[in-house]
Amino acid sequence: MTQQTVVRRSEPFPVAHPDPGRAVGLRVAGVDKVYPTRSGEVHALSGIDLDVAAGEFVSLVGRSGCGKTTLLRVLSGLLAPTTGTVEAGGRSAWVGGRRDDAVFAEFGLVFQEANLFPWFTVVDNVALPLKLRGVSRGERRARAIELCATVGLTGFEDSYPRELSGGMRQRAAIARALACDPSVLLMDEPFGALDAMTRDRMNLELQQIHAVSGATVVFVTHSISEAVFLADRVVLLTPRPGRIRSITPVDLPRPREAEVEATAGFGELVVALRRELDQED
Amino acid sequence: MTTIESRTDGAVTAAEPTGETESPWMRRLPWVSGPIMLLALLGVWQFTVSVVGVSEFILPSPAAVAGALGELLAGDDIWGHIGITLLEVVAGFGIALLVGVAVGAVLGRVAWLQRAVQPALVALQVVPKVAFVPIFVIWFGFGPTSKIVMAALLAFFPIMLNVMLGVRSVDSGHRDVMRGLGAGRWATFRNMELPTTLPYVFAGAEVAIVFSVIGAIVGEYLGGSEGLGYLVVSSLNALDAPRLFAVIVLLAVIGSLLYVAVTTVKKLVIPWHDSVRTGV
Repeated sequence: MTQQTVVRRSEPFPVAHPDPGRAVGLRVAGVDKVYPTRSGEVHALSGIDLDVAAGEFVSLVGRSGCGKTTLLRVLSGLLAPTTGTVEAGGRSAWVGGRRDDAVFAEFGLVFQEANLFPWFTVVDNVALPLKLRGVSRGERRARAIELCATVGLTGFEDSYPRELSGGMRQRAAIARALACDPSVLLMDEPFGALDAMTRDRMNLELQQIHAVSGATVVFVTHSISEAVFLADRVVLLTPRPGRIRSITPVDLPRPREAEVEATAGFGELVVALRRELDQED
Repeated sequence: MTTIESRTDGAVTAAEPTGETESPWMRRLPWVSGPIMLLALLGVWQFTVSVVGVSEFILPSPAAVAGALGELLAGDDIWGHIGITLLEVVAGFGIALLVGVAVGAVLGRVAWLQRAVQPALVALQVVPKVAFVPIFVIWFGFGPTSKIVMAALLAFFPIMLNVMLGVRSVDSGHRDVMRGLGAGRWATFRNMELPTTLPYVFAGAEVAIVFSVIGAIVGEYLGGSEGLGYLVVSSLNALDAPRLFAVIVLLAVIGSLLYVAVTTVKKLVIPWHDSVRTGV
């Protein structure tokens, strides 16, 4: 079982999605990331090669400190790779050490923290990406209200973030990431701080958002079952320095219901990945 | 994008807002306790005068002070004195606000400059600044200018220090959001840096307005022939205790009104901030 499903650096898993023309693939080639620190250099990423197909859902898993957040930050253009290249839709993201903002214009980012602005109401937070693009006030409000409905925040549009629970804040953050109809969604343990039940619900919603938007998604998590549940492929990273240990295709049929976690196929994948994670030391 | 049906009906109602809710009773409490404390003060005061029998020169009765206050307000020149003091306070505060925000913003952003001027800042801060009043009188004369300078000097530090802190307090997660959205400098300032810093500006301003009143009054004590500080000194020289107390009551009222003015502006500008919500 393990030998068949766990394939090193496999080809992108083919995904059908409704809007193939708009979605964008990502390519990371030979990426290293080295941080200078007081006690010497920290090699956070080493020799990362990863292709993510347009419209594909890829989960990055690994222990804390394995560089999965660093890899996501490199993908999202918040960190420049020390060496190697990052491409989105065939365009190079970094040109001569400068970020090409046009490459990242269609990216939606969701972080571990909701990072909502406390001075904006929920709609204004959600509409921020539209505001930065010069969309008129009325238009962006209408769009933000629509997005609030998408993530189940109807009735809280004019609340301030402090009036929301953690799960609702994270939904608002997702709505904000969706505001510009991103072709790429990059999510860093977005549900890590939520309780298990809310998290399951958010996973179902995220699956729907992915299905409807057709966006390419890279999703960082330390929960193997969450990774398997959501992804077309699970990328396992090992720490010091962060390397890709394996890439596992998940060919469970979609849409996946919560019951999928009780199936044998799901269980085998989770066990295989867990075993692999445990083999590290 | 089409709307995705939420499978999680009830999620919205299940989630409780985390913000503290203040009961109406807690909200009204200061409006009840304030007058009670004022009445208690007046009671103790009257008791001390009439029962303990303290001399009128040391502690005039509340009635005598009220009478002196009425007389004062009925007079012609009191509004001139109030106007002068207000001018000095507001001008000093205004200058401190402009210069304090500018200097604080620059020092908050330019780390090496802040390090370089640190010793000078500390030295200026620990010096009792009211000691400069005689120097300002020499430099700027006995008119309002020397008092404005004193008020501005006192009010400058709380504003500058708070703004310096505020500029540095931008949340790194918020920065990631703006960078991720490819926001330009101006958009980043308007949508993130300015709103982050404003609560700090107001925290400084609330202290600064009180300090400006102190600066102006101390300035008037030491030199000049106008303003409420001058009235305090002239009442003292005339051994007119009721009038002395009446002027101090006036000063307390003016100081409170100015403070309320600042907090009112704060409530209008940053209604979202915690300090506005809890009334702290």
